[in-house]
Amino acid sequence: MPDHARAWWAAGSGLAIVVLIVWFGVAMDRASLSLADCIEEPDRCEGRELYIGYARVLSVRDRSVSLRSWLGPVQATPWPADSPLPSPGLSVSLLATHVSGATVTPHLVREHPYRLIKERTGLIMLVLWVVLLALWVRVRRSELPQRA
Amino acid sequence: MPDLLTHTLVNTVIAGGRLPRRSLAFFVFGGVLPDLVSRVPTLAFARVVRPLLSRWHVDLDWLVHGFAALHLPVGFVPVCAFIVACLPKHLLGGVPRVHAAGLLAAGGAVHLLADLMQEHLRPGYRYLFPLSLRPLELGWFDADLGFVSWPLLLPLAWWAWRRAPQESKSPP
Repeated sequence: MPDHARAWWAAGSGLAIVVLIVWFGVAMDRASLSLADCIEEPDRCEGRELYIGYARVLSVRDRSVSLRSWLGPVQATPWPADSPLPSPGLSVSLLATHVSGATVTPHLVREHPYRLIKERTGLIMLVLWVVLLALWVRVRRSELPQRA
Repeated sequence: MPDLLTHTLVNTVIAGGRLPRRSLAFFVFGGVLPDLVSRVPTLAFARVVRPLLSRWHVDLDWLVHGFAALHLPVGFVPVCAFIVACLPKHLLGGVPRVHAAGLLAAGGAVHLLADLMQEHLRPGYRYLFPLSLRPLELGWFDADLGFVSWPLLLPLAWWAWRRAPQESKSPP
């Protein structure tokens, strides 16, 4: 492939990537309701269902569970009677109704007891791939003909 | 998403010793690329950049959602084209540029297919974008249970890697 064609491919695909990130991001932001939206505009959330995915359990008191989601702290209360209370450190996902502020009432919960394995493996594999790519670059550069 | 190790192993096994090793490397790398280009920046923005900028009330939620576009068929194809177009020739290891892009895209397609089979509390993959924002999921296995396949996939992947033909030394 000639160099100018490569440059066009890189520019075109790079532009497409940026456009898609903005387009999809804005579309999703409009289509979905998040805890942050509910805190800012509680009227928008009345009676609506929120999904809080893979939040970490910080503490449990009675049937009230403190969580940390990527949108910040969440208070889930009361925890559904048909679900066992989670242990601190565990990851959980919830379908819940907004109450006020960062407080929600969950009606469906799922524990992710193996989440830590997945996160740690992901981190190890990420490091491994970076090392492999660095080695590939080094080996390929060493095979380049030496300039006089 | 199943974890990155599961994706690496699945792609190695699927190639089944048919692809030469350098082509196999592109195919397997394509199998982890959707997560590397979408989940890694999403986590970085959600956990590092967003909390840092929250004191100035900068709304970055749309950007956190936006990187998920690169985990969709429509977003992953330009990623493959971009990476392969940007790679200098000596890093392709003798694999033709268009072939390398195809291998990355095929590896990514296997990744997206594996992700489609899993089950979450609420389905999250909107593979039909931009035609629709409807989430799709087959719900055949728990997204966190990829590790139970390792005892089977590890020896199969080792066998597939050993069986993969090695290229003769390519010109740089």
